[in-house]
Amino acid sequence: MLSRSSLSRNAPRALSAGRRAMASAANPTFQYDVTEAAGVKVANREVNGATGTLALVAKAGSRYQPFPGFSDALDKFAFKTTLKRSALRITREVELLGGQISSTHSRENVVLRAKFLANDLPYFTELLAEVAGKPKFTDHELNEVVSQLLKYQQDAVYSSAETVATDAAHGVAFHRGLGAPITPSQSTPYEKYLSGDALAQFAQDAYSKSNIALVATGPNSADVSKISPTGASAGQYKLQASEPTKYFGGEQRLPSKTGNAVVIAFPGSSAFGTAGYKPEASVLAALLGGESSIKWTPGFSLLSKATQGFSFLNVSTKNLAYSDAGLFTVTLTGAADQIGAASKNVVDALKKAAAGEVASEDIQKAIALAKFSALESVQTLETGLEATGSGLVHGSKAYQIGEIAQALEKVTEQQVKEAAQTFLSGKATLVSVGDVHHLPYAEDIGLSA
Amino acid sequence: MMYIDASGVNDCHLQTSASSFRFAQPPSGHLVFNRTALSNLPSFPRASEYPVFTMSAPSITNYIVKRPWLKRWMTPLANWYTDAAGYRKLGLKFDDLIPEESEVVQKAIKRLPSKEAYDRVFRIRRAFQVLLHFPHSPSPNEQIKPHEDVEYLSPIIREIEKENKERDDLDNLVVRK
Repeated sequence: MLSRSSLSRNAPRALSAGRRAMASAANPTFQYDVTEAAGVKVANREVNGATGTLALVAKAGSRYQPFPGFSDALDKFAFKTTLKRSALRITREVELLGGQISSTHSRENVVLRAKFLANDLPYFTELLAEVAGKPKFTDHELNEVVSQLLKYQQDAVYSSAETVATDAAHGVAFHRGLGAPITPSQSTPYEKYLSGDALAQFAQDAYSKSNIALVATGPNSADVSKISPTGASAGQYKLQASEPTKYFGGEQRLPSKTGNAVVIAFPGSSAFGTAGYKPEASVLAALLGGESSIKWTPGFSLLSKATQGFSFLNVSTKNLAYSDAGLFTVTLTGAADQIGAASKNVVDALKKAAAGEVASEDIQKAIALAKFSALESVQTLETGLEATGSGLVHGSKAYQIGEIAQALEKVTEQQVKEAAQTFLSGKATLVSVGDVHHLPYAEDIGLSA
Repeated sequence: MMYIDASGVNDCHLQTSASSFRFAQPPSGHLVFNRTALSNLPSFPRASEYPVFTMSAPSITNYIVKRPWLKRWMTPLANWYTDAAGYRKLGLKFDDLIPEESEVVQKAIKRLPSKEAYDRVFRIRRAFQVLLHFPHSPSPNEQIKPHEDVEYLSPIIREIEKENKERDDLDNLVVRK
């Protein structure tokens, strides 16, 4: 089909196309315009097209909740009955307009999202303003709908050993704040804290002017009019003051029948635009890797090579970035005995990276991959809206992808090596979930936790 | 039906009982003024499976309430009447008499705060015991005083009926562009 010559003719073209794409990453159309309307930070990106998106990012994730379950409940109370409209009416109206509404929460943010045909921007702006500004929080909705949804969420979250391990790793690494579980476990006595009144107080604080950011994309996104949030709440159920996050580290073993997972974690890089941003952490994450981005090949990453003999094993490396800290995690899931054996190889691979025994070509590949995933995650709406809003609301700047690309390009081999060295010299976090009979202790695999 | 309390708040009793009486017989011990009017009506059209909130059951309450002079006249009469109905002497509140045998009221009872729900059951059981020992009436401090006879269930019932009506309306929505 494709002759060799046509491939070779196209190769330089592909390369230059890559360069052009990079140039367009710094192109103003991909940048967000940041303004402030009525005290609320608004980021908008004019994109030509028939649809638009709008997200309200509130700094009210599990890190800031006064009691367990509050962020979950706030997230699940979105688009429920407000002082003006019932939940049913909101649903039917959105159905008639052909839009999509959703809400999620993460460790740091509660995000309300709407996607719609571009003409309907005024309606959805008003809807988000109503959800955030005039919520009702009826007790019966809490009992009949929200608490049921919360139970399903718990079942979903706690039936995955990997999620449990990642959550526990945050707890071990950061204790309170960022360490608080995203969703309270089934055995957490969270119900006694939840009530309509308590949530109303919390929401008043969570959706107050200084605590939210609006992110809009679409052909007329600049039209996002003022949203009228309330002042901060003064009650008992207000946002937790944001303590600067401190890394502790340690070891935790949780027997479980849902599967096996081991998370090896180190203090990583915080989000772009913050003081603790270290681009080398994401390069090291790409270098250690474990999952290939190309089908039918193990890929170049150190961990996929190190765990090649294990067929019932999944390895992945991530740098989970937050506003003032990050967690660099290596996650192993699969058969318990294989995890036990492979986690030793993981630490050995990290030691290799720390000693600088890595081909410079691999580092280049890692930089390219890190750049791709960073830019791709920002360009993808689901992740990009939250990242942008989170940047604004946490007092730093909006995610500007051109600058991220530049920061990643500047990473040197030496920086990557040093990042790996600091991981090994410091206190690690090790969480084992599942058949702990087979799963390793930190000492077994050469880590100090 | 006729039930007005001096404290204006209880005017709403009229609406509730009117709507709930549509689907069930009124409690036997409790006579109503316009019951004849209700029973004389041939049949009530039922819009859906849900008992949809209707204010259409004939009632003279609104007529009276809108006319202050008439309300001034009727209030003592209504007070006398509700007291004579005797449920307060059994230690019951008016909302305890609302028939439970409907989805709406069942849902409303589920939505009661736990203390209210407990007190409701307590009052009903106490009234039952009192009736068993008929000649003895409960001690005066167990009887419900007029100011204690406030709506605790009716607002929830009205809310649920409003929800049902809204759902009904939205299900039969006609979109004009």
